Amino acid sequence: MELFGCGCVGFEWKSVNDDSDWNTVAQAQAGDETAFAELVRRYEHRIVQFCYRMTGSAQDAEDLAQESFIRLYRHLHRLTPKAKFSTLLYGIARNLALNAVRDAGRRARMIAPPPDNARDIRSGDRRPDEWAHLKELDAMIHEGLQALSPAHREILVLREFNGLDYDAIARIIRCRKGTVRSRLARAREQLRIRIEQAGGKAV
Amino acid sequence: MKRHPSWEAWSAWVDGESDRAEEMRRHLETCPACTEQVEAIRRLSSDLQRLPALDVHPAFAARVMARAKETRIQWPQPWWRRFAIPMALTASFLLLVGVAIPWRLLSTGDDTPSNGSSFAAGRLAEALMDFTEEAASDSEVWDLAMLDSITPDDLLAEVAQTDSFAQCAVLLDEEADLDGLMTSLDDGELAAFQHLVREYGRENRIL
Repeated sequence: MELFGCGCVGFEWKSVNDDSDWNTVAQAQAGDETAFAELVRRYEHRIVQFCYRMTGSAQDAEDLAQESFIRLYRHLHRLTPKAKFSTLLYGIARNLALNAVRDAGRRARMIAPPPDNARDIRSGDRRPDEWAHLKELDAMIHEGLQALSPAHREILVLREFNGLDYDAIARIIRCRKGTVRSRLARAREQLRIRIEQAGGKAV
Repeated sequence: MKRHPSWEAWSAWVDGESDRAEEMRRHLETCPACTEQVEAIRRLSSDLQRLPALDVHPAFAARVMARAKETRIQWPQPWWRRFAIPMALTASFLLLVGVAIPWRLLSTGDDTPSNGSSFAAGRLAEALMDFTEEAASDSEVWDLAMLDSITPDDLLAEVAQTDSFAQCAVLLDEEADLDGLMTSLDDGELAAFQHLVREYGRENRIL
């Protein structure tokens, strides 16, 4: 029976590529602490980046990512390889990040410029005026992203920064694939308009 | 291709998620307007991906492991916590049948045209999904459900064990009736309905 008239799914069934994660989980469940640390290292970059783009705050990103892993650890004995491990972890991080951005008191702090410890890998041979324009454009995009609704932002972040396909995103945010498609298009449209209104032009 | 694909269609095409990819590619070769849209989507994507990444602190994993050592592993929750989502879903459906439908029946004097009925029913269903999802994410219940790897089908099967839910589901499966009843739910009614569901949940300590 398909309720709500949609093919809503919340879980991605185990795939061959997911075996490595679940093997590591099994080792951690057997008491091997280094195995859990390996899982953390395997996903820390993805989860920290996701939380950072969702909250716009470097400090919040690290706190939320830490909390995501701790929640996972707290329920370690319950994990079974029915769902894809990354879907499960992203789902926890997403819940925490959404709760954080819904906290209105933290909102003003979140729309902040990129922090100093953000890694800038762009070429250093740009002219000073080009560099200044690039930094200005970055700030506009960063602010535009933070000004989107959480529902639009999460989908854009999962797609553009985490590189997930529509199926994976649908499983993480528990909605139809068609909703991912339409919501992502709306998010892109809104961000484009915000950047244009702020006077931003692509470099 | 006679008509221009929409922004949404191009957005999916750029992501490699279109089921008309080849047809759209051919259209793009001869359409400057659509080319402009595709370029805008790609430019936005490259602008986003150019943003500086946040360095993960070298001690991040060590910090997590230090906290993990102090963390007490949580054993299975009492049965009633595991049933919190099923109960929330049941409450939503009970209200759908018990409040929204009579509400619509009572307002039959309204001559709103009955177009876009599937759309209205879809919006209502989506609003219900958003509501239950939001309520659940606030209470860690979804985490527990996810960590138990319960599939939505399993979850709904548990819900379906209650007689009242089964009756609601039968009603909801009759799409023609549902569409007819939900046709003219506008944004205001939808918001009021969601408000009622929330109040019901609070009063009954379900949510």
